[in-house]
Amino acid sequence: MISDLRNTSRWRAGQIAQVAVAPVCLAISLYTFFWISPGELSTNNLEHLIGQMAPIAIVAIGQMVVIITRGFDLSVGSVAGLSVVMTALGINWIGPAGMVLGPIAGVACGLFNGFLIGRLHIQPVIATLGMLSIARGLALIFSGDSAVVIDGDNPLNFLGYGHIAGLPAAFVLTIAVALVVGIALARTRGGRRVFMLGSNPEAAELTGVRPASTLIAAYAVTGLCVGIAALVLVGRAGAGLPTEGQGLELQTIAAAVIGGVSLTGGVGRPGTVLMGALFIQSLANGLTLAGYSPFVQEIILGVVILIAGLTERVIRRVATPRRFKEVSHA
Amino acid sequence: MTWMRERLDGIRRDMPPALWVLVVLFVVLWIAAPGFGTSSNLANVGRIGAVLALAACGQGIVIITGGLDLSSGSVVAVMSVIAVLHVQSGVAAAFGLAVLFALGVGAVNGLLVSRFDVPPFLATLGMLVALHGLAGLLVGGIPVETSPGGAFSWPSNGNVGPISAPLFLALVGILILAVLLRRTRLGRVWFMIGSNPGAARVAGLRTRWSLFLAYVIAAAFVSIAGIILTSRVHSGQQNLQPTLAFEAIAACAIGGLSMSGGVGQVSGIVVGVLIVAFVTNGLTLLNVSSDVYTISVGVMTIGSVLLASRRWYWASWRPAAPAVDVGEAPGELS
Repeated sequence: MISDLRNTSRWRAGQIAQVAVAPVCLAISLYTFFWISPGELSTNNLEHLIGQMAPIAIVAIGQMVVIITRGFDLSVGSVAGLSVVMTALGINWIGPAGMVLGPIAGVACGLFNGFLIGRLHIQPVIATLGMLSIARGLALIFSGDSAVVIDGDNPLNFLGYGHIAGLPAAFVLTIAVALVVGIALARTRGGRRVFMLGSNPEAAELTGVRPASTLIAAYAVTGLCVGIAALVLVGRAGAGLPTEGQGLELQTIAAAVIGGVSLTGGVGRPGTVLMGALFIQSLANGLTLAGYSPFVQEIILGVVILIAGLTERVIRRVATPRRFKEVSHA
Repeated sequence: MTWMRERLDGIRRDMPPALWVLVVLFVVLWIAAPGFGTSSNLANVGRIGAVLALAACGQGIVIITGGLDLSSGSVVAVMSVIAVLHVQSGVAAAFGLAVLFALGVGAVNGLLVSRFDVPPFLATLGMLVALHGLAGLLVGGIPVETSPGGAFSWPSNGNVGPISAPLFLALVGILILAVLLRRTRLGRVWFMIGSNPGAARVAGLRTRWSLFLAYVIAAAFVSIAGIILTSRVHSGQQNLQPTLAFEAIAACAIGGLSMSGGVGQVSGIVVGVLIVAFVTNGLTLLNVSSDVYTISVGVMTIGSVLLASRRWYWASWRPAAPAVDVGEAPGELS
């Protein structure tokens, strides 16, 4: 049956469509902004762009992991806020090594999300929505409602502004995260279990995948990604802002969906997600350069999310052979 | 006396278990929170709860069909802006335009979900972001004010007989929802779509059309909530009540609506709304800081759904008729 499905040209067309959406969007946005303001495509600007996209890209990779399991994480923005506060506090308390507190906070939030969703069977939307409030409240309490400024030198400065082999350090970190997560998903047993759980939960459970632990691990990976992104954010700002990361959940979900990750689970590629993130960042930068207000940016981001939803449906349509349509759309 | 016991037993079984949570909460707040039991405070809870009740009615319809509407917080924001910007052409025209806009958004949501198969979560999320931006764009980020008073203030300050106007509107809304869900063909179709979309379609029901109507009617409920809110603040604001959708989802979840669709009762929604309203009011009376309040909202959301998802929570609840019973449905369905 599976091989039957896969041999159809429609299935192959669907595969190509999944991979192609992000690069096409990216090309259109870069071209448009080049046309509006020719300064946009300079090497300097592009270098700036790939450095700037790091937080969105790293979190989008994490978001991808949970979307593959048919979930999503609405709390990433607030958890990023908590993580940057903990990173800055950690550095102030114990010195440079204290920066691990940020990722630890991220993983803790992820574990809690995973526990609620995997073990207690709460819908991802409710669990992560609750975490959205909780993490933001904790960030505000720990920081005392104001930015936590790092005393003395910022040990994360290099991550914010440094270069490795001519590329922004944050970009190199992004690629590293994407590679590690990509290899873990494609080559390790745990990674394959994540895909199995997403494409067919019942079958996965029958073949011995434990949904609870797989989900907990998936959400913990998302939390870890948020914690790593928080290091970049602190490197850039030199302080832990409790309000950091607002709207990050929308940007990362948009990046993932444009990057061909299906909300129905079981499909996701880190490479195209990176391109989706680059598209979201180029949109923000381009609109700012072209002088549009943040409100217009918000409207366009919303429309992009809607269009992403529509494209996903078109891809599904294309990829489904005609004789399966009756069943799949019932 | 047996008939009376049977009757009481029937009433007890029909009540969602959240009712006991509500009773306990009420007693605890009465004792612990200063000024909770005063009639002015309870009237205040009624006013605040009315907006939530209307939003939850709309949300409830969508949840019963197996969907989710995240956009209502932004819808009411744009509504307030539209109403205030058009107030010089008459209060009725201003509110009418705002309601039309909300219905339009509902129609777009409905089209995206029913006709184009966009996941409800994604469609309404996109709408939430886009409309938040639109509201900001229309007012340039700063709230636009209008003078309170007269007809503009009636929906929030007026009275209908002994009760306040918002409470009256909410009660009418709840009544309409009850009739829709229990007595109309459309309501039954919503339950069927929620519990088994494939079967509903194969049975020859117009699932796409009914789903579309679900989002439009949900938007109609939200639009009344939007009018009350606009009238209360008499200004157009981008951040009027951005968390409205989330509070409504929490209320529905507490009231026993299944997030996967197909299960729900109006009495449950009412109890859920009252619990959320009492908790919000209680936290304000107890003077907790805004940070703690933010955390409490999250804990309440997760905690309520967690409670509602436990089997023992429902153990005492055996409704006389299951929420979806084909035998009980109007004849033309079978």
